[in-house]
Amino acid sequence: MSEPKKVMIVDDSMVMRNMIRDVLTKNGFNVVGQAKCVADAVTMYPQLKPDLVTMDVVMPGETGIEGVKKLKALDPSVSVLMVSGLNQKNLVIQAMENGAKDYIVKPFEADDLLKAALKVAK
Amino acid sequence: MDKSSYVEAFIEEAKENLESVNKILLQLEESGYDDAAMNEAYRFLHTVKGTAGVVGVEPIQSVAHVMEDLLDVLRKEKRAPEKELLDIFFQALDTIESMIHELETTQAVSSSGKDVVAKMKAFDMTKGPCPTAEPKAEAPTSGVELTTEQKAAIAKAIEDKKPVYAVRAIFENDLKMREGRAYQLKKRLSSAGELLVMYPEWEKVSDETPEITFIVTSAETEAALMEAAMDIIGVAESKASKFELPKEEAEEENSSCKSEAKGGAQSHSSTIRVKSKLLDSLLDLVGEIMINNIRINQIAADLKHRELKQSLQNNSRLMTQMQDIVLRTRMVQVDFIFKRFPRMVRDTGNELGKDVDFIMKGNDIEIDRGLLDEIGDALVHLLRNSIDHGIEAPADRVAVGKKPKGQLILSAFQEQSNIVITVEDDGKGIDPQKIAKKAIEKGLVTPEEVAKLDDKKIIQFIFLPGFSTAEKVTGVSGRGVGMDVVRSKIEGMGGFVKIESETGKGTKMTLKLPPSMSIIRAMLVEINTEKYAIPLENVRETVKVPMDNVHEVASHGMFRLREEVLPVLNVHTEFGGLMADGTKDMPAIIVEKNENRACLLVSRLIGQQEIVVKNVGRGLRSTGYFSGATILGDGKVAMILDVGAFI
Repeated sequence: MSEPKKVMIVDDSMVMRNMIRDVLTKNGFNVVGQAKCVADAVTMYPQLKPDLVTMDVVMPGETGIEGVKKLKALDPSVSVLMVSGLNQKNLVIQAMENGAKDYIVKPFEADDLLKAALKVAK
Repeated sequence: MDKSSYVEAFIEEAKENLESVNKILLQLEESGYDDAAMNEAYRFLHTVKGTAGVVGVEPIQSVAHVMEDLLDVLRKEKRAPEKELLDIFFQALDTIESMIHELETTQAVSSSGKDVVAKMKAFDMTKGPCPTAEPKAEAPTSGVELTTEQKAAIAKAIEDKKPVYAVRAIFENDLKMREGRAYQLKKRLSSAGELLVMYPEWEKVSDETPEITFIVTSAETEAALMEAAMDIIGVAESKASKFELPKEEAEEENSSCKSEAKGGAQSHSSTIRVKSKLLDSLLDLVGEIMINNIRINQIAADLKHRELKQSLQNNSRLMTQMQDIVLRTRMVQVDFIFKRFPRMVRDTGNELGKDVDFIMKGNDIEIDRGLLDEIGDALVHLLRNSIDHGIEAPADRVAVGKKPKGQLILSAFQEQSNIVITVEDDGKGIDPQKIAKKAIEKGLVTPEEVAKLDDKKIIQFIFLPGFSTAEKVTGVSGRGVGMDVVRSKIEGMGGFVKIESETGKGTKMTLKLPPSMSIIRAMLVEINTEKYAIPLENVRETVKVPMDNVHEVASHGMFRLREEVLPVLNVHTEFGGLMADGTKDMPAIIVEKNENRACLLVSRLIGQQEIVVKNVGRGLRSTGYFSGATILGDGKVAMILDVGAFI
């Protein structure tokens, strides 16, 4: 098997971060970083160079949309998977308009996340 | 996915989020609509809903969901919730809180929260310009409806001999947020050719939309177009076929209100969560190690081994540092429990018809988590007492020339190494006459005894077990749980309670707490041949008492120290020894508690030392002499004297 794909998780909720981490780690991904806000994610991204970024939509400080924009500016080939709440369609679409590759909707099953992660990761 | 392991974290996080929502709603009630605050409340609730769904606690999810929807409406309309709605919100938060409590204690939630959900759903939100629910797009059951422009575009493409295909993408049954998938489909198919029609448009897609039809001109094959649609997550099936123009009209639908969520600015620090139980064990271990170290030190001293002694000294220094750090990790800001009080004060005030201006100070003061957990109930009791018995009804306040709104101040501050928390109101104060009368009625004191006491002493009667001055027992101040419980709780932790009151002006309760519950400085003494520890807080000084200077006054030994006459306490016989009567001088400790002092005779003074407080069983505690025990350097147990019991 090739190198495991590196993942950075951006979410303000610890529960969500842990859950995403566990699902991905169990399925051969390498979670290299977790950020609880966009600012942290932007700082961490250049060092971690992840193949996949999972991005919460609504977070304190800047939203996930800002997050996508900023990561896109750092690395035009960034692969961002939005992790969205049920009624955030406008935000998710905005995020995709700004370069997010795909999204999943909370609450999600492990399979949903895995399918999207495999599809989106570089 | 095993969800149980996340439940604990969910509970912790949800509690914090709910407290924040409580706080924000109070703030909105107080100072009107605020974008940032509203967004924050929405976001907190959104997280609760989302994570509840993830860990599979459906009832919490559904209550939070409905409340979130209402908040969303308010947010979009930039309006603060009216009082009626606010009350429903608080009820919803309480419902979720009790569900969380249930989840915590029984690992399951039995209530559905249906009542409060129904209440929220029934609330008339139509005041503003935007309806509560998103308008739902009609499901395209009767084929695709085309506009004139679309028909013209298709006709033109056919005329230009371009291949026109109809591509149907059918969604998975339980797919959520189909709008996004529709958007993705549109993008994907646009890249395969020219998109002439999308029905319904992605903006109008809802989770009730079973499928989407695209009309495209493309150089790709039907199979390639089908595959392109299947690329999108959530598309269960796709079909592509050559397209021919049908004859139908299209119609317009209302567009939904646009929403934009923005989190409030919030600082974040690099912290991790640690189970408080782990910290408790760590502190216990540190305590044990320190005790062991004292023992090793003694052995080294006996051996007179210099090198060993020196390295042990280093060890002691490191251990003190370690202890210090462990204690600090257990520190949390008093805000941790303070933040739930504004809500409680509001509710209590409402219930009793009192108008209360509640002010909190020193929320950032840090205190041992264990202590904080213990004093929470005591503070609730004090605050309720102040609102119930202290602060007068608005009309009564105006009648005596006060502002109609009563003031209740809860403040925390540090005094040397102690944490002091005060609850102060500007109410009617405690009437010593009333207290005295009640105490006599209850047979707690005699009129003669009362006559000898000043007002300050009389007020202290409220600490007597079973004392209650409320003319009628209200649900608020409670029944049976009185100030005596508060006092014994605080004193049990090595702190003390002070009460000051001025009739007509108000009452101030002061709780003085040790910096930590488990490690205290104590004076070690020997009584008979046993060692005992006296918390240094209760030690004022040590003296030598010449026994022939002890005078019998009304069968009590009294000793004159400078200008003060102190009762002499001799517990040698009670503690199973013989009174060494002939001794000329006896070492003694002037102990004090609650401004009472006494002279406690001991057999020998040993010295000051830090001790780790261990709880003792009910049997030993019920003797009234001991508040706990500790393990000494030699491995022996020493009881900690409860000075209050003696004087």
